[in-house]
Amino acid sequence: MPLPPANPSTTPPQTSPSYWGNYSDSLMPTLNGVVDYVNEARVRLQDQVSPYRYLDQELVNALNFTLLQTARFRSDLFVYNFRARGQIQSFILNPLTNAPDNTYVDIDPQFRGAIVDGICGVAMMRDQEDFADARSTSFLNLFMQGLIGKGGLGPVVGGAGPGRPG
Amino acid sequence: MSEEPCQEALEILASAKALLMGASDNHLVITLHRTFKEFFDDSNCWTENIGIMVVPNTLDYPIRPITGEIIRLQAVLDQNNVLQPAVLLQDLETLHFLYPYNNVQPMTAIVSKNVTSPYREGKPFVPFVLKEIYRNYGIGILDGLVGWMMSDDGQSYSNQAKGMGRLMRFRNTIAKARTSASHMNTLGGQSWAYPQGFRVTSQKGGVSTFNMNPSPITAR
Repeated sequence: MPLPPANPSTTPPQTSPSYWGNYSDSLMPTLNGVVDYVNEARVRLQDQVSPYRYLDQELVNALNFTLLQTARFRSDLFVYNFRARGQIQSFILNPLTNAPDNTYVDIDPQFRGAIVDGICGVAMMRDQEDFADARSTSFLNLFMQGLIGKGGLGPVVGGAGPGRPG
Repeated sequence: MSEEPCQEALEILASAKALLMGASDNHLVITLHRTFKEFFDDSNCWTENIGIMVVPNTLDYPIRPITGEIIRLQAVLDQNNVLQPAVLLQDLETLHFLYPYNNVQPMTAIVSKNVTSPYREGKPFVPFVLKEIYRNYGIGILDGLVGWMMSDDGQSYSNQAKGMGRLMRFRNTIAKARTSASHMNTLGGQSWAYPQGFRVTSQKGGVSTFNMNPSPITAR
């Protein structure tokens, strides 16, 4: 894709050639494909070192559940896509690599962060420790706020860790 | 004629997005389309003159606008600017004269238009509208778009009170557009077919009251 003219007031960084690209759709590089969502969720879940606490399959499932919830709160993000007949996307692991791939997740850029929060919240729901419950709830609240909230996002909260009640 | 969205359309969408926290692009485009639908349907301010060549023994003539789609017929004028009795059939693309003509002659159908489908390749796309419409009524159209959006329930941008206010301003713009269109965009001008009470030709009820000695002024 040819780059648009550089903004004369600033110099676009050489390390990011798409910096001045079209960010309104699938060309937006941030949180573009399934693997981007899974990787970002692992950062927030502090689960970046193999063997993973949350399997790739589990996080992709969490993405699918999150999209289902998103369609409930913000159906306008899906129903107008006649190419997909208004259906909600659903993903699987790449059959060849058995890992998340770059399949595009068709979500407006301004809601992609909320989707990651939703993935984290859904993933942490399986845990039973008090701090994980609170943190999961916090992520799900962030997810809701990102989709239909009116104000700013609240802080990520959580209780003390296991063995340190209170 | 290019159907790419003009700068004015993009500016309205950008303004609406800035006013409506959390609005999705697709919903904005669809709602803009809905706003235009109401605007043009109630104001009849987007018109096109379509030339037709009338031939003997033919009553039906297909008409097609260059842009937009026809919603109703305003008038049919012959080459002497005299109104001719005709109706628009149900398909909104066929002009039907009530009476046949003996001579080949050019006529002009004046039609009201509205926006076409807001989709391109399965995705919402900004509907094409003449940029002159934005020049005259851009602020009112923004009011309509934002008002419609704010009237949605359960969204971060929902605001019933402000939405109502915006929609009232939008309705005011529609009224102004309707008046302006009937005066052919003249300030303080008379109606397009003045004086209405003394018109000597009429299409009311599809019944022609043909004037034997029409004056070109009558139809203008």
